[in-house]
Amino acid sequence: MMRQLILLLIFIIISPLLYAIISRTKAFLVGKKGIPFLFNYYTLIKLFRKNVIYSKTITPIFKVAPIINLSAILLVLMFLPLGNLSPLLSFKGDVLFIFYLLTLGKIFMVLAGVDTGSSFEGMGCAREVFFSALGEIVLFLIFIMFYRLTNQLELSSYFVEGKLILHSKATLIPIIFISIALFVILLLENARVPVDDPLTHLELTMIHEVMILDYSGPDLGIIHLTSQLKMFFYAALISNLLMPVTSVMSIVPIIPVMPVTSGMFSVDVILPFSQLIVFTAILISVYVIVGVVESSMGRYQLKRVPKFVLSSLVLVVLATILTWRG
Amino acid sequence: MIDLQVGFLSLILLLNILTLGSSRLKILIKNVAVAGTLVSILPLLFSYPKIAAASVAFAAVMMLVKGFIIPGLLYFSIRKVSDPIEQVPIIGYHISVIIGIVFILLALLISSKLSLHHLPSSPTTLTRDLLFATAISTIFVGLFLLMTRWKAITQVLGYLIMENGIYLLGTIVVGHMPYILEVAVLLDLLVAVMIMGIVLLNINETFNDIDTSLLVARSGSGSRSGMESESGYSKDQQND
Repeated sequence: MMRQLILLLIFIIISPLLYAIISRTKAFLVGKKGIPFLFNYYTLIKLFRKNVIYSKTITPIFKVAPIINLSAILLVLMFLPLGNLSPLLSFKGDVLFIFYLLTLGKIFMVLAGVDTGSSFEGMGCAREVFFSALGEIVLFLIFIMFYRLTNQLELSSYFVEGKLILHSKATLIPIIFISIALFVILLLENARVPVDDPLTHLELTMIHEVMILDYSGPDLGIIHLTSQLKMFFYAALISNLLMPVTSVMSIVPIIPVMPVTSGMFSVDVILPFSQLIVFTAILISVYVIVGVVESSMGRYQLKRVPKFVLSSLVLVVLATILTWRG
Repeated sequence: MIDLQVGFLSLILLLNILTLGSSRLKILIKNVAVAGTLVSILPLLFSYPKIAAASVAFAAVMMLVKGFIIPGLLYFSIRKVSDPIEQVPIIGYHISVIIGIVFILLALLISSKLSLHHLPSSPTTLTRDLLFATAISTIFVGLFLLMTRWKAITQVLGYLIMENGIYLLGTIVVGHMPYILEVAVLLDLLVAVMIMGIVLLNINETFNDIDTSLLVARSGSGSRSGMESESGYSKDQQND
């Protein structure tokens, strides 16, 4: 229990550092030096030291939205299994809870964006809601598939037992497909390049960035931190899926075969140190891949984004077909 | 081996759906080239432990024709085409993709209703059903492309995709068809594509576009191109 709490705290603390990997990768690929790894911390500290300026037209929703978003994502992270280790919290049906928590945070950000009365922000909000509605179909199809495999509604069981079942049932291919689909969702939900450009300076083309134009100071810092944590959440989902199963891991003689546990607060598993290293390595490579994708392609036209999401839907459907029976 | 078979089949399915979703003719041709290559290797995978030298040679020829020569010819013929994008299909791209998914599901439904277990190429239930579903949905996708796109080149590609599906169906039913028949079909296909290429260039020269709806006014040349693709198709059917 304690172990997981500490681990989670460590990951929360290093998530800005992980986020910097993306820009470092992008800089490396174009032959630049890039920002220092601690850059995001400097930004956060700078922002937290500043004063807040609010527009006169806003309602209290605008002020509470970043806090609600941050607390939603923090709560979500407690349900996240970290590399074959069961999470801090878990109950029957938590998958739905987690994804509605994420949506709750998003809804408040959208409301705050609309609250400012700026037409640019309203436009960004409409896009954000549209695209995440598309992404939700894919996510829910993924979890329906996992539910079919495991007959359980806990997120942790999907990534611990569900993966074992996936491995035993079919082949490696469904896992690859689902990882790619999840990666598309990661790009979509975190407003990364093929969907949205975080570095854009034109309000007309922004999706996510335009919603937070009116935020300043600590509020902006909270929003940055939230998006870094959100990135970590999705990257960790992918790394959980790609983690080698226990049978593979136990080939290495030092590592004991880990019993698969699920249910509330059942954590008497000693996390082998090497598993954590594997998990972190996969996590970092997910970030690196995001950077590579960003530097190798431009962003899509807005009308092409639904097609991008649809292609991940196709992948999930194929994975479902492959695991249907066999 | 099962991993490889499933991987190939799902790649073919994916390519089909990508073909339904993309508007650029060059991408379409590349997709069809890759799908053709995969389809020609596939029978080798399904007869894996005992592979005859003749079937390897045949797969190589098939790969050369389907993966390189035919797409190369098509690529060559669209180089001079003024507008290499299908602008307004009869059914839009997003809906096409969803219809593609529906095709796959339908094909799976069909394959689960049929009793395929006595067929020769049936290593496991999964790959057998998947192979059948891939074949059926590939044929559907080819027909769909033929029906819903205006550009002559996309229609040729739809015809090629359909041929891929029929070839896959042959792989299921008899392991592989007699080589002489397959070579004949291949030659037919090649000639059909060549003639389509000439027709295409002529359409492009006359109308400065390869949109077949422009041919309505000139029913003579329109029916000719239609006849070519139909004759190739009917021979395929006879082989089955």
